[in-house]
Amino acid sequence: MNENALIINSTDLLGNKLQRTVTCTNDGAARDKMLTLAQGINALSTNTLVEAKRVEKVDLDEDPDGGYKPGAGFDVINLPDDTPADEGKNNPTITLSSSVVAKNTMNSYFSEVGYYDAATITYDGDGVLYIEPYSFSGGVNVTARPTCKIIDDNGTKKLRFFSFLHKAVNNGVVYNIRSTATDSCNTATATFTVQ
Amino acid sequence: MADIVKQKNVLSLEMEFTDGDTRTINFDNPKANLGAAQINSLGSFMAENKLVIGDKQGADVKGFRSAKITRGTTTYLDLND
Repeated sequence: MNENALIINSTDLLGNKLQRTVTCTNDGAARDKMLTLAQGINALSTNTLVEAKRVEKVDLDEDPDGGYKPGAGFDVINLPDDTPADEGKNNPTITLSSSVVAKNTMNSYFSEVGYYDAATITYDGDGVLYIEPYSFSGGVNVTARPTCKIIDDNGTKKLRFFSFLHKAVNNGVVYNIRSTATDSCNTATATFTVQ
Repeated sequence: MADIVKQKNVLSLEMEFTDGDTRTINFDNPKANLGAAQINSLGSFMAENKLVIGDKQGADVKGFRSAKITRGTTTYLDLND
C-alpha cells in the first residue's frame, strides 16, 4: 500500500498561509514531474506557490521491533529560484523607504521582530508583492518564517511584518520581497535586513 | 456599522482511478477564468506520468472526473441598534 503524499504550501493574495495535500502519490515519479504537478494544481488558483513537499508515510507494522522506521521523512522539492524573464514585458522595481529593521529582545530564547507600517513600498508593476519564506540553520538550528501582509493605505503600499528569530542570530538577516510575474510584467525583487 | 460580508471560493477536483476509486482535492481561491481545457490538461499530465496511484489496488489515475467551484458567502450581522 502506498500512502505517500504531495503537500503544497502556498499563500493567498493577502499573504495568509494555505496548505493542501494530494495523497497516494507515486514515490517512483521524478522530482521535476512532481514539482510540475504542484505548480499545475496551484496554477488553477490565484495563490502563490511557496513550497512543495513529498512525504513518505511511516508504516510501523513493517518494523519487526515495533519502533520508528528510519529513512522515512520529508522530501522537499525545491522551487525554481526565479520565474524566467520574458522579453517584451516591463521590468518593474520595488523600492523601500527603509532597508534596515531593528529587532527587539522578547525573552531569553527569541528576539521579536515587529515592523508595522515602518516602511513604505513603492512598486510600479501590477503583480502581487509577497515576502519569501526564510529559513536559517547555522549551528543553532533555527527556523524563522515571517508572517506578513502588504496593505494598501490610500494608494500607498505599506509592509506589515512579524517574525521570531533565535537570540543566537545576531548578525543581519536578509529577507526578500518579490512580486509575482504577470502577463505584462516580469518579477521584481527587493531586500531588507533585520539587525 | 453595517453587516460584514466575506466570500470564500473553493475549487474541488475529483480524481478518478482505473479501479473506480475517487479522491478529491479542495483548493482555495480558484481563478475566475478557469476552463475545462486547463483542468483536463493537468489530469492528462498526472495520468501520463503516473504521478498519483490508487491506494487499494495499485490503480492508475485516469484524470479528473469533475470539477466544481463552491462560492461561499458569510455574513456577519451587525447587532447594534
